[in-house]
Formats: sequence, C-alpha cells, structure tokens
Amino acid sequence: MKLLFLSLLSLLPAVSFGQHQLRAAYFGETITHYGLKIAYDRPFKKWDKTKESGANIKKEFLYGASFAAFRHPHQLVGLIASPEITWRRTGKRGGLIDVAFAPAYFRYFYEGKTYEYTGTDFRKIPLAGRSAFLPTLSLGGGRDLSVRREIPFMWYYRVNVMRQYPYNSSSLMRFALEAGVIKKF
Amino acid sequence: MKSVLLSFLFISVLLSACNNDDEQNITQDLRLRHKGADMPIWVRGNIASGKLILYLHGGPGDCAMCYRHYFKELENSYGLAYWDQRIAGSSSGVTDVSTLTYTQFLEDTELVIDLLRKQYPNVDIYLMGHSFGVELGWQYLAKPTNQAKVKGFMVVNGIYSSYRWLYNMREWVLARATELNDTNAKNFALENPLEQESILSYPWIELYRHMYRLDGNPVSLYSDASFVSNYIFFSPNLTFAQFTHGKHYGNVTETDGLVFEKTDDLQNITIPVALFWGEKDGVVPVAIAHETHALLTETSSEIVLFNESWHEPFVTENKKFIEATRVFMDRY
Repeated sequence: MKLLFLSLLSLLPAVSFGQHQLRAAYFGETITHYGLKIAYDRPFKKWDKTKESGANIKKEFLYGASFAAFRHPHQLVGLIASPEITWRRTGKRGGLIDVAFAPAYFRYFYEGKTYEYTGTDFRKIPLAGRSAFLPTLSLGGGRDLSVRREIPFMWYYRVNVMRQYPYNSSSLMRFALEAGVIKKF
Repeated sequence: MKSVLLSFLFISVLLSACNNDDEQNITQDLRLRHKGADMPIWVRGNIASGKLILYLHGGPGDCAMCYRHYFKELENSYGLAYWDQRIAGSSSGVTDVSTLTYTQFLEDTELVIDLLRKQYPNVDIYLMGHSFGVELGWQYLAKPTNQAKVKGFMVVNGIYSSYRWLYNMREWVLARATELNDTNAKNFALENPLEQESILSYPWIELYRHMYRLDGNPVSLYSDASFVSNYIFFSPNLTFAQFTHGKHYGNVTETDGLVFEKTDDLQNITIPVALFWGEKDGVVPVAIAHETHALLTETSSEIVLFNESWHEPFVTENKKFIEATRVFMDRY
C-alpha cells in the first residue's frame, strides 16, 4: 500500500505542463559506496525579485520524483524511490541554494547468500532483503549556468541526511552525497 | 548527461580495480536470517587450508568485520568467518529487543556454526572469542555435543563467571587505586564488597567507571586513522549502524550478564584452549586467565600474556597476537 501511494505521488509530475527539469547525479554514502540518481522536477511556485542594482534573485518551490540506486559492496544494493519537494534560491550570478525533503521508499537486497533456518535445515532465500521508510532531508548548492552564459544546465550537490525505519529495534541514520547536473527544458 | 554516465562507469571500473586484491580473498558473503535478525557472516581468507576461525565478537553489541583490519594477516593462512550478532555491527532486519538474551545468543551461535559446517563440510572450525564472545564460546562448549563440532577455542580477555569477573575487577580497582593513591576509587571499592547472592544489585557500572578512569582500558580504536578510514570506506559495515545499538543492551547486561556462570562446565571441556590476555586489562583482569587455566583440567590449555596490552591485545600487540594464533592453529 505504501509503495502504491508513493508510486502514485511519483506520477504527479507527468501530468504537469510547463518548465521541466531532469537531474542526474552521482549518489552514494562515500565514493566507495557508489550509486546513481535520476530525478524529475517541476516548479510550482516562483518569486522573482529584482534589486535596485538590477540583480535578479529567484526563489521557487519544485516538486518531482526521484529514483536512486547504490551499492555498498559486500553488504547490499539499495533502491530508493521518492516524491521530492524542493525549495531553491538562485542568486544574481546563478549560485544555487536548495533544501529538499523526500519521504522515500527504500528497498534493499543483501549481497551474497542469505539462509533461513527452517527447524531442520537451512533454506536459501532468493533476493533476500528488506523494505524501509527513508525520510530524507537534503541541503545543497550549485550554480545555474543559464543565468550568465545561457547554458541550459545547472550543476549541483546535496548532502542527504536519511533515517531508515525500521532498522533492527529502532532506526538507522544514513548520509549520502549527491552531485550532478540539472537540465532545464 | 553523457559525461555523468561516463564518469559513473569510470568510477565503478576504478573501484572494481581497487577491490581486485580483496576479491581474490573472498570466499563467501553469507547471512543468517533468524527470529527477525539478518546477521552477516563474511567468510574470508585461505579456506583451502582446511581451517576456519569463527570470530565471536564482544560487547554485547560490538562488531566482527570491523576488526578484520587487525586479523587480515591471518587470512593468508586460514579462513576467517566474521559474524555480526543480532542487533550488533551491521546486523540488520526487524529485531525485537526481547530476543537479546543469552539463550538466544547461544541459539544463534549454534545455527551460525551449523551453517558454516554445512557450507564447508571438509573444514575444521575453531572459535576465537573476545570479551562477551568468550561467554558465547563457553555457553556453546558447555553442551558436550557441541564440542565435537569445533577443534579449538581461543579465548581473548573474556570471562567464565560474572561473579569471578566482578570480584577480580574490584580487586584490580583496589590495587590500582592504591598504586595511584586514588582515594575516591579505593573508598568506593572498600565500601562495596561483592557478594554472590546480591550480585544483581551490585553497583557494577560505577565500579566499571572507576576502572576506566584508572586506565583499565585506555585504547581507542578511533585514534587509529587507518582503522577508521578502512571502516568508513572499505569495510562492508554500515558506517553509523555501530552507534545505534548501545541503548538496547541494558536489560541483558543487567540480568543474564550478571548471573553467567560456567565454572563447573569448564571442567568438562576437552578441546584445546588458548588464553590470549592483555595483561594490563582492567575490564577482564588477567587473574581471570589464571583461574580459567586452573579450571580447564580435562584439556590442554595455555596462557599467552601480552604485557603491553589491555582489553584488545590484537590491536595493541598485533604481530605477537597473529603469531600466537598461528602457533595454536598449527599445533591443533
């Protein structure tokens, strides 16, 4: 049910019109726990403010959906799907600051072979893993290259702070680095 | 977009290349799912030697694979199995705290050893227990049928009796406090004599704090930069998992942990035992090593002392520890 709800939320951008943005980024806890993230965003609320000097400051809210996959060698392969909501400020030179929240669904598969004791023997569990709720708060920055040079790209980075529920008897704090490019359409 | 994909591919190839040496040593990544816990068992090293050491980590709540950094050299000679116990290390799953009992830890140990025996039917299994892992080892071996499943037991600074543990820790605190002229610790120990009947109400945590303050175990793994970088970047451990567990162990350490008693069972142990001990340890003082040795009347046992070490001699005197392990493994 949770998966269905999140999938439906993720479809929201597809029924929208207007400016679209595609994100592609490196995503991983460290460089050795590597992965890839793709996302789609669309602005739904914008404010433009022009200062007396002529400098233009833009603030906007975006909503969208993302999908990430990463590998922690000898531990797990993780898949993360989520709707996302982002607040972004673009400065006069194109400098970005953004804050995002994503109530993510996390599905992970253990590497190697997992066995379960049946009472008499061990049974191998195919594609063993677990599902979890992974609310994520992100803080990042970057630069919109279209502001000064009319290049329809932005580069950006984010630090993701995530909390995995459940994990053993409680929850687990996770961090991930995200760095990549955003293409505006 | 293309450049991002190419970069990702490049990084993946680079990392695969970095891991090549490691990959050659891999035997198997196993995991045991039992009563809500998904417990990893990483098997590494020279399994072709026909000898496999199962490392029983301490705590409860410590980790196994995180110590690989200190045991890696042994992998050239033997197989090593690093098992993270339930709700410990990077053990995962949805695990109820009520399963943190000595009975459940024993059941898990039995299953892990049975799984390893099934995976490697022609390999002899040896146990190496550190601290709380020693309690697991004695529990396991107290069942006579289990002794036939393992070839030997290497005990590293661990106990056979909670009462004797606290008795000796109190003695250690008294002696050390006298040596350092620490009246606070000395008075605490004198005002709190230990009686077996009232052990469950003994203020052992305060005694433990005095012991730490008196340098009973001043070693911090996190001051070893190579350990930390290996832990964060190159081990399969979940970086922050290790720090989520501590709060769950209060009940088990206050109940089962204080009434653990295997004095009588030690006299029925018939497999070879080595007692590796950091001589300066205040956590499990060396007096316990001598008591254990005296109780093992039905087997050959030997004490190897590490006179520059505290609770983790494999950290502080690594070369000597590796050598002592080799001597034991090659003898039996």
